[in-house]
Amino acid sequence: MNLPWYDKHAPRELKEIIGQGTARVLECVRKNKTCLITGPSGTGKTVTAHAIAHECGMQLVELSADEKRNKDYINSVLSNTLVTKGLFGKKLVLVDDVDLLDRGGMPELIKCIKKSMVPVILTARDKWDKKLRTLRNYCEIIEYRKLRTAWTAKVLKRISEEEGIKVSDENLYKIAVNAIGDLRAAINDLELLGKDGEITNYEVKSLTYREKPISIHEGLTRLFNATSFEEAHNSLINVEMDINEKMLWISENASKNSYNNLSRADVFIGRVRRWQYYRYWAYANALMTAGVKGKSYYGFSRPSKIMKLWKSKSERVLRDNVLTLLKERIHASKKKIMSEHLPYLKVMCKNKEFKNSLISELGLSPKEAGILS
Amino acid sequence: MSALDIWTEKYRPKRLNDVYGQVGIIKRLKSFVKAKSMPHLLFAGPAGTGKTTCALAIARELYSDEWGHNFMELNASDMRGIDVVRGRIKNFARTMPFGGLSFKLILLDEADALTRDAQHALRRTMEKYASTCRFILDCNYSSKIIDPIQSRCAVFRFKPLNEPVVTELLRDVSRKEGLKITENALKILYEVSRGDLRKSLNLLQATSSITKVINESLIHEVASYAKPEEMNKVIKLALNNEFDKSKDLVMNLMIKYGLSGVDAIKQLHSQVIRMDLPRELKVSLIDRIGEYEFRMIEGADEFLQMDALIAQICYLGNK
Repeated sequence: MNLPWYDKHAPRELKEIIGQGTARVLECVRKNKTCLITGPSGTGKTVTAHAIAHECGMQLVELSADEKRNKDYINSVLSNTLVTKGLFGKKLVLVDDVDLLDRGGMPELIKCIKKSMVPVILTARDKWDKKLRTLRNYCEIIEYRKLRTAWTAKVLKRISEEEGIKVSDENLYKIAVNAIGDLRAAINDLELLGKDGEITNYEVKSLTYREKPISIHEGLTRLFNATSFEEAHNSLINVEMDINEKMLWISENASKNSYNNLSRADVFIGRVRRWQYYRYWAYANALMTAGVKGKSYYGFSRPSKIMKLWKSKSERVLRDNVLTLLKERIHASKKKIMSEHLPYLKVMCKNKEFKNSLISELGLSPKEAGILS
Repeated sequence: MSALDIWTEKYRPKRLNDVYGQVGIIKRLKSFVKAKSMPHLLFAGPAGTGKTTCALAIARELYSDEWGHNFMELNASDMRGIDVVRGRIKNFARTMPFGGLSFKLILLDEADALTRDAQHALRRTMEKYASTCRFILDCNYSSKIIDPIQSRCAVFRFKPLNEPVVTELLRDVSRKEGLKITENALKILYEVSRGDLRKSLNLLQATSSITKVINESLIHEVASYAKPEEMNKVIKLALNNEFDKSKDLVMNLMIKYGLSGVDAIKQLHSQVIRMDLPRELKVSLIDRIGEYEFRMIEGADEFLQMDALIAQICYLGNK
């Protein structure tokens, strides 16, 4: 068998998964409930489900991201599975990466788990992901954290012993540090370096090429100082932000003549949203990085738009209240009242007498009255 | 102040006979009232020409005291989803009318704001409840109403009111409100409002709140104060290559007036058409504006697309 080491040495029992809330997961499974495990990659989310199935002798039904998990697919796999008992013992359902379901998948999934009679384990990376908003109401959330370096090193030591690799504790520790809490990455590195049975200081040093997450400021510095397509194209890969947030930062700091490419990138992002066709991100990404020049080479400002929109929100609510009240007295839509009546009403309200009578007539609060001046 | 102290409501005619202008239309509408039977109606025409007023007057005259029970007014642009058609309209339409008439009446204002899907749903409702319910649809552009609905309606085209009619009305209102207004001011009121009675009344009332003696320069002042042509400024700034100022201004306007990206683009478009610019520049500006409306609909972030459009206008202005 030629499995990658992280599969070969994957935990078979729950107690091998250290430092995470596995007990709570097990409790959910025992009670036939649905739980959502969230956490960064390589923290043991998926192997928890495997270990439970193995340990409790349950039949594991998996829906992983390599299928096109749209409404029909989820329905065809889950609608029966979740309401019948298994032929070969109890069933356990695992849906990996629920933040990456296809169009229509999420509502269908929620529909299925609502009436489920078997335990379900879901995994996702970020528990605050907007796409999980509704789902959060229907499952218990168990958060997994990045592994502590010492624990990662301990696992590496065990594996290196089983594989018979000569390596110092210090070097194992360095590999663990480099993986930043991602056990799978650490085991991968160990396999890569240890193929020949020995890991030297020199080899461990060469590991440092691996990119760490960088700040957006660092990313933008790389982008706007890039001299080649590749450099620009890759500059933001290690910035931990979603594409929309990156776009806000880039456009805030882009030069005027970059806007055509930014606009084209935004069109592709819109199409991803509309069709759930994620390949378009590749085009968006190229246009919004390699297609952009900066206003400056260093010292970047944070996106101002969001702040402005947020500040204006309370005013929008007030204005909408006033328009709703006016609508009961003027035969027109709010939109029309806003564009055709409000500007003149504001002039009329320069007349204090008129303003006061309007305020008492509509019963406006002082804040709402502010809209009229 | 009573609710009616907004003059557009205070002086809204209650009966068809009192409606200004639109003589031919009124005559036919009166015959419906007299016969106590009418088809679905489609009122098309520019703003402030009496569409809503006629619809309200018909309801009052048909049902007299019971008009509140048998008449429903809905504004399509405030709730333009298919759900409204399926919910509120259907619920109202399927109950029996109250009083002597065999049908109820629904006024659907700004019907051209309904999505096509909602219009198709509406068309079904119109068919299904034809025995108990009549619709009056108001719109600016009848071309935005789907054919199957148009063919089910008697279509009335409202024209902008001409100068003598507008002047007569404004003079009448001025007398009742105790204003002194010059002939020139009346002329300017008409010119600024282009036959839109709502606009001219609002303008007159706004001016009168400052002084009771009204002349033409006051009207001009109030008009430009109340509705400054700020979108105009956005384009001018961009053409002068003031990218940052222009895009900040347009964003502030969008926030201040609650405009969607497409709303703002529409305003830029109509400004460009009116501005005094070389013919070729105008054409290429309109080409770009159209392209960016398209991108806005396809894309994700309307503010970004707006910024990109401003960048394009800068470019065109300095080619």
